[in-house]
Amino acid sequence: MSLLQVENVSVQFGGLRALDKVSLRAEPGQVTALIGPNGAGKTTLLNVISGLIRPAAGRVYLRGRDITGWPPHRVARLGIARTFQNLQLFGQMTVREHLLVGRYRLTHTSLLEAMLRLPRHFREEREARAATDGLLARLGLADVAEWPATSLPYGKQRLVELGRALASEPVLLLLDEPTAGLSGAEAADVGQMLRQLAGDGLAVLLVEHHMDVVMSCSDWVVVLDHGVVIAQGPPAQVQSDPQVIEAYLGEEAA
Amino acid sequence: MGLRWWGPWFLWGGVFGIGVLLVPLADALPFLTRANLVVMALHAIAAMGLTLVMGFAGQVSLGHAAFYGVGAYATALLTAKADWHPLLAMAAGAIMAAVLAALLGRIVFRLRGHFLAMATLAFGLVFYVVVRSWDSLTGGNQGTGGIPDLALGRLRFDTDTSMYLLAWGVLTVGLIAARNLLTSRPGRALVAMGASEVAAASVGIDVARTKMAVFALGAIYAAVSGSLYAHYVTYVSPESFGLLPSLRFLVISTVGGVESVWGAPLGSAVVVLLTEGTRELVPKFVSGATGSYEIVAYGLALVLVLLFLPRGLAGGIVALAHWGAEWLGGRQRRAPAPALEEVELR
Amino acid sequence: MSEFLQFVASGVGQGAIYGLVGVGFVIVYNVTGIINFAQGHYLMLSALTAVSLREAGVPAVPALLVAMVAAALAGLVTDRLVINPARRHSTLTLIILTVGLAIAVEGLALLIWGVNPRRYGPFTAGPPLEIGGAAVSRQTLWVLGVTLALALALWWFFQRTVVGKAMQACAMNREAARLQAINPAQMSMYAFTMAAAVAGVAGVVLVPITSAYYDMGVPFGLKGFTAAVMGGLVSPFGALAGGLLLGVAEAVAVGYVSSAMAEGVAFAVLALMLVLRPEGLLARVRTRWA
Repeated sequence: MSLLQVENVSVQFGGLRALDKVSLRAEPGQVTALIGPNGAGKTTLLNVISGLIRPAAGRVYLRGRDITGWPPHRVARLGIARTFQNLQLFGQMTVREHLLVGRYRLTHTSLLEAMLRLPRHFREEREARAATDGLLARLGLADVAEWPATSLPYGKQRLVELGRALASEPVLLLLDEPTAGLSGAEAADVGQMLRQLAGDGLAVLLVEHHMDVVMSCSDWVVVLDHGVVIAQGPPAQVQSDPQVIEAYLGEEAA
Repeated sequence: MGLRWWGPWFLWGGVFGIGVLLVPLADALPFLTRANLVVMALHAIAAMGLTLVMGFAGQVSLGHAAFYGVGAYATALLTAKADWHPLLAMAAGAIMAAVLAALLGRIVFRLRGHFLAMATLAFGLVFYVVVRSWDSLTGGNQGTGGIPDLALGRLRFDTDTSMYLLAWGVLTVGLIAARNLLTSRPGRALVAMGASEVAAASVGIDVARTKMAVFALGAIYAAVSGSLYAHYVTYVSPESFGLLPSLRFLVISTVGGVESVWGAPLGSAVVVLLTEGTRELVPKFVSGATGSYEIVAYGLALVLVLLFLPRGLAGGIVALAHWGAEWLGGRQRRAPAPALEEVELR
Repeated sequence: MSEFLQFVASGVGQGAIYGLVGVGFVIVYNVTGIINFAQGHYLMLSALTAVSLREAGVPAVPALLVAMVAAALAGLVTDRLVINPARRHSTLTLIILTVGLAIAVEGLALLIWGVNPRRYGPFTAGPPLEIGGAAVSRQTLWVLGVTLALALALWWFFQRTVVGKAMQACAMNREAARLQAINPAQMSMYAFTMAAAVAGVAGVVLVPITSAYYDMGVPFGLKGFTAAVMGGLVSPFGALAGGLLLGVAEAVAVGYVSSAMAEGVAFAVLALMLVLRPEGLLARVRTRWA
């Protein structure tokens, strides 16, 4: 039984078949890359897994548990965390606050407990701060921890979003183009970090366009084109697959 | 804030102290009375609820006065007609308002932007019409009276001054609770939800439930304030809970600044000044002016604030403080300009 | 049955007015994405202006024309002075801005015209006409006639003129419209002016039926909005249809239940529509503006 099992998922947007019987698996300790030309349905697949879209057909299993059609917050509480293609940060919140919010599913202080400052609030705040200190250091964000996240350079903002996802101590990490807009060096750094995360036992599923990152950092590659899986396997094998090459003709691989 | 343990006591003691100082100030100003202070404090409490809903959860409510009305009518009917203890009646009013708000939140939670605003407006008006029509229960248009003065143990709050100090005390407590909320897990969830519902859901926040909770909390603030109001005026009628009061709360929250807990008290002070100032000045220029023409001032204030000071007075003061601190070479809250290689053409 | 017809007869007049106000909401919303809370207040302004002019002895036709122009001007001013400077702000801020404008205008109206309602007589004097067993007031016929004429004019404008088609384009796809060198700020100006003008027309024909009073902006605005929502906020003609429906529903409620409930009907309908079917009653009908 795989950690994540996507089986024959199909999604229809009006007349458009965005995903057609897509199946894939993700395992702990592995980085799985989802690649394909623009419009292939990669983000749609992530949206299905994370609960933003309900598939017309097919099932999604986490550790054997059917989570198909579950609302996003329930999926998140199971330990699936994600980032977004177009960066969804929280307005004026500081970097640290982003990470603190990320820990939402691990904490339980209620509205009443917070307003009345009951003991549980203090206990959880202490624990949360300690945990986020560690994460901030690991991501190299310690020196900007108290700054509003949206005032940081783009690369750091991406890191904040990643930090928010990691703060929940997820079992499965869904990343939607984490290196978009980053320089070659920054992208390589992200790739390295992903390998480290996988080394820690996380399952990572990422949508990616930076071929260098895909080739050097992933254990398994799934290729989508027009909503259909046209190839999957280890990076080197997929790279030389003729169907894959053809799908990318006319598309500039980054 | 890095203050010592006595820091918060100092702060809140200071807040209450400012409230006390407003009494002689009002006496000194010819057009302000202590009665105005009572209304100011009461409206600030109710508007705090709206600030939580609008500013921190990013939801608009144009029907907030309905909850104010629920609290007022609950107190009116339960203390005058059923002889309940005032605190019990207030609690009942708060619970009813919270339930009503949670239901409303449940129903309208999937509406966005202007639809949400219009829906809250519509519901507020439906409440107003229901109260006006349900003669047997609420006394209809005539309202209902005979509400006793608020008396707790040996304390009787039957003067403007005592009522004002009580209200200001309640406001201070409300401010404390709100600040506590915002620097905690559920508070951060609120702010997150207001900023990006999708991202909030992705960290496990149940957006629908949270919206309901915020509406309910805002309603409780309004209902408590309404209950106090009922004891103060000893007579309630539907006029105090219709569209104009809802809009007045909107003006208070917006002018004060919805992004800060201090917005409501600031805004309420400004609106009181505007109201009394307008009623003082306008008759000098327009003979025979009648009716609630102070709404001109409300409208102008709203428009001017939104155009020139979108974060309200509180936001303006905060910005001024930051600017002053930066100018004095103090700590910066802006990250330094990005290095050249970090700038990407997107 | 004849009783029901009577309700229809009493309700269509008001309904047509709601529809006209609703048309304004639709035009502005579709071209700019904004709900103008002050839409009903243009109706109020034209109504009171017309009354004042008539009271001052100005003959009927010029008085009404001036009043309508005044409303249109108010719409123009709204766009230039209030909306334009704030265009980069969030839609919500813009809505609250229009709320502020509405409040300010209402207060001004109170100061200028006072609390008491005023009116002038119907356009043509005479007893109500018997149509199908129901008594229809002559002014109601005027209202319906004017509404029909306006509807035709709007149809012609949107289908046959360049500006009208440009506005439709904005409605369908603002970005694409901009790429076609259609200036959104200019379209916004036209939209606000038109919407106010239409409300202005509604105002002057309404006075003989309901009188003009300083706080009529909000109820007519809300009901106009309800009409617009019933039409799905996509089509001016949907708004007109929604308005007629609402007017009749209101008349029925007044007739069968009580007049106190009349106000509640519109608000309840609005609340229900927003909650149950925000896309309008005609959602699956084509959304072209004709």
